Amino acid sequence: MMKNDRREFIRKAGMGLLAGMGAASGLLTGGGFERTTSAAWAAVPGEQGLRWGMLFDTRRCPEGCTLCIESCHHTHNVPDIASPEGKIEWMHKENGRELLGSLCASTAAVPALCNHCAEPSCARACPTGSIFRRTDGIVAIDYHRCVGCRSCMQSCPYGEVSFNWSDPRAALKNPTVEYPTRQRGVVEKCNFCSDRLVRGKKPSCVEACPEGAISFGNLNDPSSEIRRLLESSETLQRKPELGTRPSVFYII
Amino acid sequence: MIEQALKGRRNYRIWSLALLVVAAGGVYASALQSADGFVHTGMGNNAIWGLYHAQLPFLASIAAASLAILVPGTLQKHSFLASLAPLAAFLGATASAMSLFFIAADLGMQRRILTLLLNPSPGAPASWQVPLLLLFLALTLTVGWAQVGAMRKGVKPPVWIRSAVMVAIPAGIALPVISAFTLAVVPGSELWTSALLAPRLMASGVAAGAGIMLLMAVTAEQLAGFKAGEETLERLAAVGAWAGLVFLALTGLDAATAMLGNMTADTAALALLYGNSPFAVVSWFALFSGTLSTGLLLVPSLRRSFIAAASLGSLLALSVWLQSGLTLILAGQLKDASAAAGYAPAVPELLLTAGIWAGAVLLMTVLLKITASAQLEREGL
Repeated sequence: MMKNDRREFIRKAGMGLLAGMGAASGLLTGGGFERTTSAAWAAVPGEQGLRWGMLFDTRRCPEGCTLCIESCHHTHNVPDIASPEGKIEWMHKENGRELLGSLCASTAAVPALCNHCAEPSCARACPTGSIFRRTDGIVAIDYHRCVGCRSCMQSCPYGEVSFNWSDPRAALKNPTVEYPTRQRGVVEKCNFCSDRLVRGKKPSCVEACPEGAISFGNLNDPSSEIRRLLESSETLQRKPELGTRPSVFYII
Repeated sequence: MIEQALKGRRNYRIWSLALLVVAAGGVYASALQSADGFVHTGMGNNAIWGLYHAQLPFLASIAAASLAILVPGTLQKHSFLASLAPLAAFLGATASAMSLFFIAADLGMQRRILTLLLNPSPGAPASWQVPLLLLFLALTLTVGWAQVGAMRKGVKPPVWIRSAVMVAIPAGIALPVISAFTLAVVPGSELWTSALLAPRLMASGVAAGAGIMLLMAVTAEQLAGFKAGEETLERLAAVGAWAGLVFLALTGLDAATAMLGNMTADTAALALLYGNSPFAVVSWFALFSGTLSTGLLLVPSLRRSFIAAASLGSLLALSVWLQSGLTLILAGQLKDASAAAGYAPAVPELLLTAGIWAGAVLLMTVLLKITASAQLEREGL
């Protein structure tokens, strides 16, 4: 099944490339990207209501700007650990080509975070149900149930789960009182600001972005801004071929 | 029977004491880890699992392999394996106990270990590991103990052990399958997401299990006067050789499918295992020693020599430990060549690993000693 999907993906990617070459030579009109199908954000059959999603318009994301990351990490008491082996990140910026694959024309850094997949492989691997998908589509972690086996970290194909290898509180310079700190030995990741959503606020990265490049909303609501953007733009997801159905989209 | 564990000749006492010292080193390292967490290990963002987790698939396969001897040895009427049945039961028990210790050692939140039993998530293969290991440990230990008790008294083993063995069959077979499935839920790890992984683990377990049992039986024969019988040992060596062949064939099939089909993700994973990673030397050594020991064990005259069979069996077990344990996990978790530079186990991590192994060897020594004494006692009557 997976192999088939990959072959299909490669086939489509190849067709996209051909179409792109055609477009460049003026033979064809239309873009070189494969358009994300509506299945990527529409509700799972039988699944009604809320499914939070996020869309980055990377054309409006300035190179070198990290305001969203800083705001996210401050709001959620994410420790600042320099060593790559111990680093904890809820949000980070990476080379767009590496993040989104060859369909991404740009190598500029684009923001990345937990994809809050509709089919999360982390939740599939967790032996205690400590990482789970909520009914609003957010993949959440119960820090008080996590045993620290790192199965979720291993099985996240995006590498978006971090583990507290050392005491995170020691690396917190200016903690926020509104959100709990974690202890050594548990995993953590982006929570789509479920703590702020419940208070009627937008996610902190969305608020912090001076360019308005981040849209957040209900993917199952056809009248939401994010759906309007998804339907009017060419968008990409990270590793869609794995069948995890990410809720985070990118306009390149 | 247990008193037999405490008496013995000078060599037995020195051996046990040495194992106790290594186990004590493990206790020390464990205390260090409880106090400071994984900072004393080589694990990190590029090596999410390390030496502890790398033992699990191997040990699960050994536990299951004990059934290959235990089942015919207890359920068949006149099995040539009957004399080895208690040893197989104890091997299964020891392997499951070790698995439980390594699972515990690998938890970031050890004090929440009961959460694995209290809040299982049945959809996740990993949540089946601990309950199954506990069940298998209880069953094999009870069966082994009952058999040795009966042997000492010179009576037939109680009938209920047949029921216990029958319950142990699905539980034991499930262990390597579950172990393979915990790896199969990791998308994009091509060394792990093969349907052949479960049968490969099972075959490798039977090969290594037969190797370890050969070593155990020959050692007990030389040092404690245990008698398994010449024919039994030769057949055990043959079991090891055939299982080794199956294991090598399955490994080859996986690799051939990847290469003939030019499945780039799979060949990239193989390249990390055998090519551009620090584990390549170990992988090649494991493959070579596995092929060599399997090949030589197919020679009847070598199987008949106790010393040769035990040495070749041990080499086969070592090769399987490296292939179904260490390199499978450590190279399998690498996402790309840039992550390969990463993992070197730290001293406390090595101490803890050695400590658990020493504790297991001690347990096995004691159980072997009790078995051999029971056999001698009956002959003395």
